[in-house]
Amino acid sequence: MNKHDEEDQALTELMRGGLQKLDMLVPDEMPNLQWMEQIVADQQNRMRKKMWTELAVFWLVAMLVLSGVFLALYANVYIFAALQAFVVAAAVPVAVILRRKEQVKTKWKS
Amino acid sequence: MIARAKRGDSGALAQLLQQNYSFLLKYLLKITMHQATAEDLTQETMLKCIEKIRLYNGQSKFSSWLMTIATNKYVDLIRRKKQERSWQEQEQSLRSLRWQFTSRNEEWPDVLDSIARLPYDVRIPILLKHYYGFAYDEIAAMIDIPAGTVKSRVYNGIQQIRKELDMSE
Repeated sequence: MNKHDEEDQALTELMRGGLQKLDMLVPDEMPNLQWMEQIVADQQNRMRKKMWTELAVFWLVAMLVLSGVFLALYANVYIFAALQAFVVAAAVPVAVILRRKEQVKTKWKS
Repeated sequence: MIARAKRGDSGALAQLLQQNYSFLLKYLLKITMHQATAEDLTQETMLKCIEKIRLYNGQSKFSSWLMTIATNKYVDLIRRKKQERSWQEQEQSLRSLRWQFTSRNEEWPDVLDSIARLPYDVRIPILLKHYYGFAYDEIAAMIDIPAGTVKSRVYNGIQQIRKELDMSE
């Protein structure tokens, strides 16, 4: 082991020792199981409520969109065709933009 | 227990979280160097885990999966605030930790000051590498950056700590 490796080892040990001391500030005992079960139950209830709300919004929007599409189809077939063409053309750039945004959100700065 | 928790057994999930609570809090205290933030993020990580437990695929240890969620929560928090904590706020938090050491008749190690002064995106890879013993590839997967970047951040961070502690090259 050369001098540089020894120094690296010493520094690593120093850091580990310091960080272990920091661990002492957190008590080792586990939190109360009932408290944890309550947290799990509350969160699962919140998730269930959120899921039903999202589903209701989805159905409402879907019904609105379908009504609009049928209205356009029966009112004027050209408007219907233009609407369909616009949606197909817009879908690709919107998907690309959303994907880029998602990538930026999940990447760490590098 | 993990399999039961994934199948929707809320008792098993509560037990799993209970067993990992203090490990997670200790990890978050080390990466944030801020007690209140560490406690808040521990709760948030637990809630996220309850939400996503079905997506845990068992490729990594459960505790490593929790660490990944916790790290992402911390990074999100910093992004939401647009910047890392101000110097004063960081000093105040370190003072509070130092005070807790004093009250336990423990000496505050200088190396903790140097670690706290590192930017979060350098401090986290250093902790994961040198304290938790993860390989560069594992750290890269956990924090979603290339392994080469992890390696250079760890190297530069170590150099910075060494300089601050005035250890010879």
